[in-house]
Amino acid sequence: MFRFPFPALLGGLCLALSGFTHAATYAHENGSVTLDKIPERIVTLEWSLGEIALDLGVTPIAMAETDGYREWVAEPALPDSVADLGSRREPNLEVLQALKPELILVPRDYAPLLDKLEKIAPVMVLSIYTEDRQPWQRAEQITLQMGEVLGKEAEAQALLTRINEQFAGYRAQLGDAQGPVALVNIVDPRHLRVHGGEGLYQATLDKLGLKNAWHGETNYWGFATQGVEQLQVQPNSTLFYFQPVPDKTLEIMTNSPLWRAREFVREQRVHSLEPVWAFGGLHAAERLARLLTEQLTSTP
Amino acid sequence: MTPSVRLPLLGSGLFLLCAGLLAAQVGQVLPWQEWLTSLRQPSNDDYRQLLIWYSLLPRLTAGALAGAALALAGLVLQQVLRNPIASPSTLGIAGGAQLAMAAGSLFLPASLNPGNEWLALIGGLGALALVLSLAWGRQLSPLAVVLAGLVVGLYCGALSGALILLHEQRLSGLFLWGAGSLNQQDWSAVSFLWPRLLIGALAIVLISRPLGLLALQDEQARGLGIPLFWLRLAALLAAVWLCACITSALGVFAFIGLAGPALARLLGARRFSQQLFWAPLCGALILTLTDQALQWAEQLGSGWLPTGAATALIGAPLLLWLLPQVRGLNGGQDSLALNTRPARIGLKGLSALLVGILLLALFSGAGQAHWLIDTTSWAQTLPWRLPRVLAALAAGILLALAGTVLQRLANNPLASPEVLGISAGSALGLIALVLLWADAGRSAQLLAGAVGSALTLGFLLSLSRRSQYSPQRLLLAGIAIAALLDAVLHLLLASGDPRLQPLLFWLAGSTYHTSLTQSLSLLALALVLGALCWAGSRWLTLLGLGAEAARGLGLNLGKARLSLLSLAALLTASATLLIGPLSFIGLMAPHMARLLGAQRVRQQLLIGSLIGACLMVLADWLGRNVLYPFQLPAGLLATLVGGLYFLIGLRGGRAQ
Repeated sequence: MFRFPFPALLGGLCLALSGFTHAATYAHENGSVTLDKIPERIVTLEWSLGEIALDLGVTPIAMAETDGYREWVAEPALPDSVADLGSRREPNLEVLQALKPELILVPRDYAPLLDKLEKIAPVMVLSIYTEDRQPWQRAEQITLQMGEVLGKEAEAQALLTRINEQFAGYRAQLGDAQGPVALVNIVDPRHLRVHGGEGLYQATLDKLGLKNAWHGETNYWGFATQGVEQLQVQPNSTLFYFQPVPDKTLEIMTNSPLWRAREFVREQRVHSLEPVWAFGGLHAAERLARLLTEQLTSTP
Repeated sequence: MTPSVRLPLLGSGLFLLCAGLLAAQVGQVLPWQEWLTSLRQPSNDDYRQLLIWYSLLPRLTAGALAGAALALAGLVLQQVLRNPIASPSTLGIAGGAQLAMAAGSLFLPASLNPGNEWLALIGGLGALALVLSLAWGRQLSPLAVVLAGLVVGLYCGALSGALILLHEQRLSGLFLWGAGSLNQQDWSAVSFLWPRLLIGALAIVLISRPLGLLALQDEQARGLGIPLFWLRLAALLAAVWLCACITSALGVFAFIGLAGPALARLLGARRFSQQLFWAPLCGALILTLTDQALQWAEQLGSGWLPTGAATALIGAPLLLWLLPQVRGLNGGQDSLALNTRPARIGLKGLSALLVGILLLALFSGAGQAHWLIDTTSWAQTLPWRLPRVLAALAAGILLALAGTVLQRLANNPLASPEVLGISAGSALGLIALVLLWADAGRSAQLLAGAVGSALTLGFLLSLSRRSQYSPQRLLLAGIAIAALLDAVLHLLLASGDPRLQPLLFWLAGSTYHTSLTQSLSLLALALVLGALCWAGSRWLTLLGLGAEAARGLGLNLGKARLSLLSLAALLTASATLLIGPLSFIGLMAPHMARLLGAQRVRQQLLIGSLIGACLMVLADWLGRNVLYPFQLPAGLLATLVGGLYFLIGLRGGRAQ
């Protein structure tokens, strides 16, 4: 008597279906998400995750404070199609829901918001900046993780390779003879933010084989605030300050006898740099490396 | 020891301590063996010597100047307003200056920007002019000036808060300025300050004799032939001039104006002429000592700290400690009668208004493609809007109730939840949690806030028990706690730690994070506490007649005050936990109720709650829509919307 092979058929059907639906589970910092298919409509509330997504060739459908991204992060360029969700801390949930995202990416700072976000779409928590203070490693890892989730594994690998090659190139251009480098933000005429510790800027310097001229305590984002007169840097160092700085501020600061007595000022080793997002991913690091290399190799 | 011995003795002791610390500090930079050589042959190549001449010494001088000027300003303000808790910040000068600087750096093209110091000066003087014009109709009566100053200060603070929220990156320098930093790299700040301060101080010395007589009652002073109005005006102008100069050049050092005169009085300076000499000296010593201590802490690895925030950190506990010893806080009883016309809008009208606003808030709003009433997407938008609208409603009611109870209880139109410091205490609890545990969830945050407000309440109750629940002392303690919060906040914001950015929103009173369950339970709580207020209204009425009369009518003063205080604290804490420590509704709604003619306690409770609810819901709706998709916190909008109305109402009032 013929018996219909139900189990076998069922098994085959399941196999076929799973091939179509591509159901997969991905672990993240706050548990895991299961996605039926590769998400196309993704939202990155924070700029650093948006930067990574854009580099992987996925344009987020929305981001918080898009104007701020264009001004402070700048690279990679943000297409006009990306919807603005309002402030980064209180992204507009009504807008977010109307956009029907398939995946929302946030760093851990959004912990209090997770309940609400999860009602709209699956949420993955990916943070570059944590107590581990390993932003470079975290950024690499998150790039690969996002590549996997977004179906861009090859692109993610290529991105890491490209960044590493670029850094190798910059390092070769710079050579071994560079003096130590200090990176500061001019907050007002009397105060600086000095970068070091284990932040992204420091990681960039390490990769370039450059020494940081400043060795002080920092917060976990990798900077410390100081009076201008308190800045202690190694001799022979070059100082870079990030734009934008109002002319008036710069004028007052540079008129101080203490500033003019500095070695790096007297020997004209002070340069300005275009803004680089201090809390970004690998692209921000590469941008900083590129700008630094341009400045250091163009000046005799 | 008699005051005449004690004052110079203690003063010179503190001075010696200061000098010792300074010498030790200079010694850290340059070994003392080299001091003489550097004096004889200063070298421009030696960074250590330059550091002493262009950083340490200007910093010391600037600190001493700032301390002296602010204490002098505070003293004059206290004398003029007959109010020992008056201080430069009570007039809104710092708020006005900060707003002008923020707006100037954002909106003025660089070529037209006259420089921060001038912007701050314009802002500070503008705030003063506004305050004076508001109090003009009341002959610049002390209470009217303080009330107007407080409101203008809050208003400016809310406006610059909005600017900072919208332009966080650009205005980070203002955080440092607001925190009051004494770091110097040349003598420019000192040379900016000293001639200007000298003018202000000379003006005060010139009018010091008639000023000393201001302690008398108005009638007596008038009888002596003193032109009260012009004298007060001149004194206020001189005081504001002093603080505007300091604020513009160095930033905000809020507590010095309060602590300097208080210390001078504590040391025994009784007469105004004595205080005129000792208060600036005490102010200068306090600020210098704090700054020196801070520089030592920095060398021990504390990291950079703004001095202004640190003075308040030290100043607030100092004041709380001094409080039980301060005598004579009961001056200046002239109550501020707001314009009380018969009610134009009754209970029914207000209820209808509230329903209308609720419908507006729930069913209309900016959308992606369309505006206003949008029936198709209610199912989608209501789950987001309902919790926020309910939270705003409940918070408005809670704050209005708290404000009514406090104002009746303290017999003081300046009493409000924020002045009591409960909301500040709860905010401090939350900040501590965020710093210790960055990933804390909502419930942990609620718990931390509750612990903070409970501790503050307990402290206030134990303090007031010792002083028989004197309302003035309680207010002073509350202000000190609020200032402590302000100091901690400025300190943290100046550190630039991005973890604290969400706190900015919470502090501005955002309904963003609330869930439906939280909102509903808050609303239920508001109704329960409202019923308790209703039950306690007889006590409030009796207390309004004065302590003696109330006791005569058989009221147990201690018990009644304790219960009402606990109730007010509970009201404030529950509102604060959900929408942040915003105070304007608590200050404003009871006032508006009076403006509408609510004289009796129950009337005021009911009408005040309705007004509070209307304002908060409307503010939340506006916040969600005016800058769509960017959302502004409801508390901020409530301050902007309600504050304007309040200022107009205040101006409309005329002395009887």
